[in-house]
Amino acid sequence: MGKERAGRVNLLSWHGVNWQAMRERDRINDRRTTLWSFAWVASLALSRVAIVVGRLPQALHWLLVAFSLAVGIQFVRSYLRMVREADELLRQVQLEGLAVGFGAGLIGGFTVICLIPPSAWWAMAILMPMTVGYLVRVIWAARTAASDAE
Amino acid sequence: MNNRLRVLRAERRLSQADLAELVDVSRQTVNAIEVGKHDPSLPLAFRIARVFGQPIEAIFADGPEEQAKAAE
Repeated sequence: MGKERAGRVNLLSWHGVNWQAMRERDRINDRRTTLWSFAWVASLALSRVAIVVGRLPQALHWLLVAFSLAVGIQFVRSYLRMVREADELLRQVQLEGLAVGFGAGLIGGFTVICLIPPSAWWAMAILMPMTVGYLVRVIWAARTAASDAE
Repeated sequence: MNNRLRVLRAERRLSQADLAELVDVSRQTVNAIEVGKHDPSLPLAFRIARVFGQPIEAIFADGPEEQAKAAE
């Protein structure tokens, strides 16, 4: 216990904090999510280089987009699994982090769109999926909970 | 929420890590519950109660704020 480093920030961990007493399941899920996040960044970078440098046919261009999206979806799925199976306290930490992140994205994004000329409508491309994704997930979870209650 | 976790652990000579392993959470979670920074979920409260062989209400109790609200 003496060597325990509770609360130390670990940038290579999706839990955000490096807890030596983390359960093995959390450690495995954390590692898996971190690897998927790196894979997603790598797929984005490689696809971007291939699209910019190589003169790719349109079909191959879309194939690279689909590939990056597929890796990204796997990343989100592994994160979702990590949060679902997480130790109670870790889950609370994650949820609070997500709430703050979501709030910051929402407020920051709309401030840029509405108040900083010229209107940066590109930000809508980030904000809309974030907002719609959040709403769909919350509504779906609420409906599932309601049907379970019956 | 108040709780008697620390006392019960001491009586049974269990460390936070021991209890954490018995109820399948991290040691930090046990610590956060003991110091009142985290309220356990109902399943976890049941697991803790089972370890100590006591009913939940013998281990966890409302804090002063909840008691004041209930009295209103």
